[in-house]
Amino acid sequence: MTLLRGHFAWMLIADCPPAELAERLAHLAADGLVVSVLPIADDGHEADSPQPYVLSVHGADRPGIVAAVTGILAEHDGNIVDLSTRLGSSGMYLLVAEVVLPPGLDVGRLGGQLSEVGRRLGVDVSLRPIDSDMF
Amino acid sequence: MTGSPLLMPDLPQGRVLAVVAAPHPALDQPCEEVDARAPEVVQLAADLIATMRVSPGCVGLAANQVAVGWSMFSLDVSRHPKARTNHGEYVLVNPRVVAASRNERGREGCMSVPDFTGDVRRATRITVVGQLPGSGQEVTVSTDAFEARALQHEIDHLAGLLFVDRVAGAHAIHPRKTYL
Repeated sequence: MTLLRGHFAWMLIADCPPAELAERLAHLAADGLVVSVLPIADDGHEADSPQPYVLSVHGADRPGIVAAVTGILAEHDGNIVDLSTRLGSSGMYLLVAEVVLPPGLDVGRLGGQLSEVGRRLGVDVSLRPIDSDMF
Repeated sequence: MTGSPLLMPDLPQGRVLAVVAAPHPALDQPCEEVDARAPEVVQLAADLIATMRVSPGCVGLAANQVAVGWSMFSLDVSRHPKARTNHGEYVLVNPRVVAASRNERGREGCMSVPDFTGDVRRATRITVVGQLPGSGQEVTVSTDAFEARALQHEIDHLAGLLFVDRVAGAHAIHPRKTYL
């Protein structure tokens, strides 16, 4: 869910017949809301339970950081599911992304490549499994 | 306060030092273990405390935050409203975590990352072993809650890590307009 310059957007997954849901939400158009309901195919991905990771990059701002890091992830079929970037007043650039990696991937090797890219760009890169809230 | 204050030795007059802000190479490099009895280590301990005392909202300061790559930090959470157990104002040299449990998410800030705060999962029960400056006496600090978080934050600094390296997710970083 996000609000940008007065424009609101919300995305969620619901377990109900899509046509019925679309019909029940149709009245929202009168309030100026655009609603789209799309069916999601059950492709059994949950059975693989891919491990989500947090990628953190920080250092002096310069062109090419996002491109270089996301390029490495793409080479390893990593899927970026969320990403935010910040620029601090001291010139510190910060990128934090949530990444889903395919099962069986050599994460150590990926981490090494990311660190090497970071060294070339003069930024720090870390890749850590997302902590589960269950313990 | 439910913890006993650590018996710090007498320290020389401390100097207020400049705190570096990221990006800075000193913040990214792991710090080296040092001789806790060395006079220059004792002086830096005094300097870290003096610098921490004059910095509003600062509850801890690692040596590499003043661009010195030595494994030591000052800490004082005694006046923080979120602290439960605390051990007063102290400096630990060559610290290491020996036990940690009960992770919880909490909001952190840092003088070296002045524009942001972040949500970080840390242990809320922790035991740290380190040396006191001057005597070199080894002490064990077992604590919880905010002091536990602060200790882990400072020990991370000594490993060349910032809290931004441990944030919980893409939206766990928040802008901070003022330090306090």
